Amino acid sequence: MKLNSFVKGILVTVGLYAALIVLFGAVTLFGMVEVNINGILFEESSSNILPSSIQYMYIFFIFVGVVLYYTSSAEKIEETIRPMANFVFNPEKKASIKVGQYTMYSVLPFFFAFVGYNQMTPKFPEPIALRVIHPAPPTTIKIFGEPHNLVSLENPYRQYEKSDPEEFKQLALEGGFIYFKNCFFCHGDFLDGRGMTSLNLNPVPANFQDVGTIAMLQEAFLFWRIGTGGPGLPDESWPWQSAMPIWQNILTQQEVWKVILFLYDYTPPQITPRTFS
Amino acid sequence: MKKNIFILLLSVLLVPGIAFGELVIREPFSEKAGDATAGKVIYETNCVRCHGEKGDGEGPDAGNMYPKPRNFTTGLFKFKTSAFKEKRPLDRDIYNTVSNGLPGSAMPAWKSSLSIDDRKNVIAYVKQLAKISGEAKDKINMAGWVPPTEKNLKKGKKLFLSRCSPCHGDAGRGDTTMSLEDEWGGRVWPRNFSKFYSFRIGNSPMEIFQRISTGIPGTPMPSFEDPEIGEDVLNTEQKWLVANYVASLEDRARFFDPTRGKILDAWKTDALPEDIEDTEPWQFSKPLTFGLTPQAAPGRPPLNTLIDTVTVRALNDGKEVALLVEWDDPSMSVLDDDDAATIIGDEDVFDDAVALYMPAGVATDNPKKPFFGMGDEKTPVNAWYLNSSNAKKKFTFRGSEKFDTASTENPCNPCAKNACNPCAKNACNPCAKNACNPCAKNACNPCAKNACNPCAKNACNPCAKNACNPCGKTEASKSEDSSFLQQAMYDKGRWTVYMKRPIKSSGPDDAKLEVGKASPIAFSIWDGSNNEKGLTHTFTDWYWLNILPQGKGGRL
Repeated sequence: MKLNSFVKGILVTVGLYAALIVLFGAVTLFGMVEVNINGILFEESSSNILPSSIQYMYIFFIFVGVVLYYTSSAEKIEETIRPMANFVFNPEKKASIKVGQYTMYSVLPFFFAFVGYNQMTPKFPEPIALRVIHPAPPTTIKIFGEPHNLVSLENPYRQYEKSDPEEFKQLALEGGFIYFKNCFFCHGDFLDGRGMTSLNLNPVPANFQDVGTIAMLQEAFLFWRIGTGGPGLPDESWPWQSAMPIWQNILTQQEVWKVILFLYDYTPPQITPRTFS
Repeated sequence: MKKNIFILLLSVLLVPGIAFGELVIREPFSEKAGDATAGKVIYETNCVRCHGEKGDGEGPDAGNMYPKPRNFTTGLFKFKTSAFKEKRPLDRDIYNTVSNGLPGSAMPAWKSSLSIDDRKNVIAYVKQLAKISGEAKDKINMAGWVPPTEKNLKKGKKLFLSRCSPCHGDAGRGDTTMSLEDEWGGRVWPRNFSKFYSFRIGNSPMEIFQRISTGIPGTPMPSFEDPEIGEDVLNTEQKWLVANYVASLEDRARFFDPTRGKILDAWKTDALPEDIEDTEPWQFSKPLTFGLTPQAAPGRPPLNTLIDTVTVRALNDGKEVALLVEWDDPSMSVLDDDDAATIIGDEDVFDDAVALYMPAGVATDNPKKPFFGMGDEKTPVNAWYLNSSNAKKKFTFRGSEKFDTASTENPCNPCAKNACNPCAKNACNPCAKNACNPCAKNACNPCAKNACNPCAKNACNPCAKNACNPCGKTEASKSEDSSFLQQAMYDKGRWTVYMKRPIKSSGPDDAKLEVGKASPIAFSIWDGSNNEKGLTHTFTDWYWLNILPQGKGGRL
């Protein structure tokens, strides 16, 4: 059977599009893990193979490629647009095409009316405002009643990592006690930001297992974020929205440093604090 | 052409191929017992923090847990499917607990981080700690299943009311009549059956049947096969009747689903409900359930909270906006001479209370909001606050009786529009210089260090019974001005609060609401019989109250 190149073009585009969707869909499906938060089960993708924006980009290129191929020569253009021309001008005066034309002309107004109605109906979506997730820290900040320079501030316990590994281990363990007493309700047993209250909160609690969070930050940044909590954020990060408590009111300075030690110690080995040097 | 179609077919066929391969590769559960020596290593890296080195449930982090981590050395396991007379559980029972965790407790689901073999090995070691050898032989006799027909559910309800309601409440919402403890001295609150997700194991009839059969060892939940409970013993068919009935109590409409968004729509309606008993107009509203987060307060494990969701409905008639706030609380806590509350409550009983916050004096489209909860010095919030004892001044309320406290004229009524906003500039302002406020300088900032700590006993706590509470000694009176209306009702383990206010702002300190725009809204709930007052409470962060100019489904 010989297919018209217009029909072929549509088939190839739709076929490749469907194959991509099925392939990506299947890949994400196998990557799905069941997440259990406080008794509520969620399915979520454990590995994002390709972000949706890249998927759309591929689909766009497929479409452009198909269009280019079927318009590569005069004959091909002619062959491709012939069915369209036949439908619109109907040179052979076929009855079947006439029916199609009338149907289209009667359906189109309804379609436009629907689009118009949809656009005119008032919608009341959630107000959108953009929030900075990792704001630039101030250079000096008053935490625990004394000013700290966040550029030069270092974890006083970090030195033990090399000089006294036994002591370091003990300090990280103590940090763990503090973590499981105060933090794990939101940040989770596995430090993955999936604690039992995490679903209630927006912004969601930080996932320390993620290489995009604490692995990108200096310990001083963490000290600032823990010490002053959500209300200590600059305005562009919405200090009114984060539920992070102001821990300097509850913990001591030493406890905060120990928790920071624990966060880096308990997460995968590639997650280490960044330094300015 | 043929080649093209072949490639297309190939890519489509590839996918089921991968799927099939994945299924085959996955390891099936083997019945082979685990290795205790290998399990010890797993146990000491993962379990020791809570369950302790000896398995006595006294690990270094155990003190923060509620409920407490299991003490294996007694050999008791709460969730088992071996027969009642058999103390030992099946290996499969421990395996399920380790794999799926126990929702609502600190036990995580280990299947995401331990392999099947690791889990089996650790079970072998746990059994060694519990001095259990071998595996239980007798399983629960599950024969005699009956279908959950209407007639059978009615029979089940009858059995439920005679056996289960003293602890689980008439409506199964866990509104107990007694203070219960487990064998380890921890407080136990009976399950609220409408919250299907809060079951430790699951709420299918089969799983409920298993709990009825074996009880929950170590807790007041008895086995209904136990001859010791006398004539309350249930036969297999009766157990299925009760199990079906309990499973039917689940309430999916009040389930907190974060994917439903953060907008509470207040559709327009012709007539708002006149009072709390006028339930008819609410059929035109869409309920939204919010998850409540326990506030981090010094010295209290946040897990110890019983109120985890609040369900809200909203309507408007163009002039006023009405809200119906509902939450499940196992006890109605009323201060003074209320015996029932004293029996159920922990040590001290405080008021049950609800607060609803809106930014004060900030336009709706201003993206900057106050801190949810009590706001801060520069950006105050406007709050509706209602607690159970200021209502009791005028009304005695038990069961379905209700109380009104509507007043804008009485300056010391905590329900007056700005009264509970510590930063508002009216007579009832605890932050005013001449008010009885011992910590005036920082009082408006609940987050300031040492300032006005609401947890300090009787210190500047607007919710304390009589201390420094400008509202405490005043009789709440029903005012002629009904522009602000609040009514509350407690029935069978559920609080219902009806609130109504004008949309139009009454002044610069009032909330700025606008028709056609979403305004920020947040909630706080206090459970007085669970030691909650002041800072110790549960809260939501900012949601949106959307006052719509049209009715449900675009009806103008």
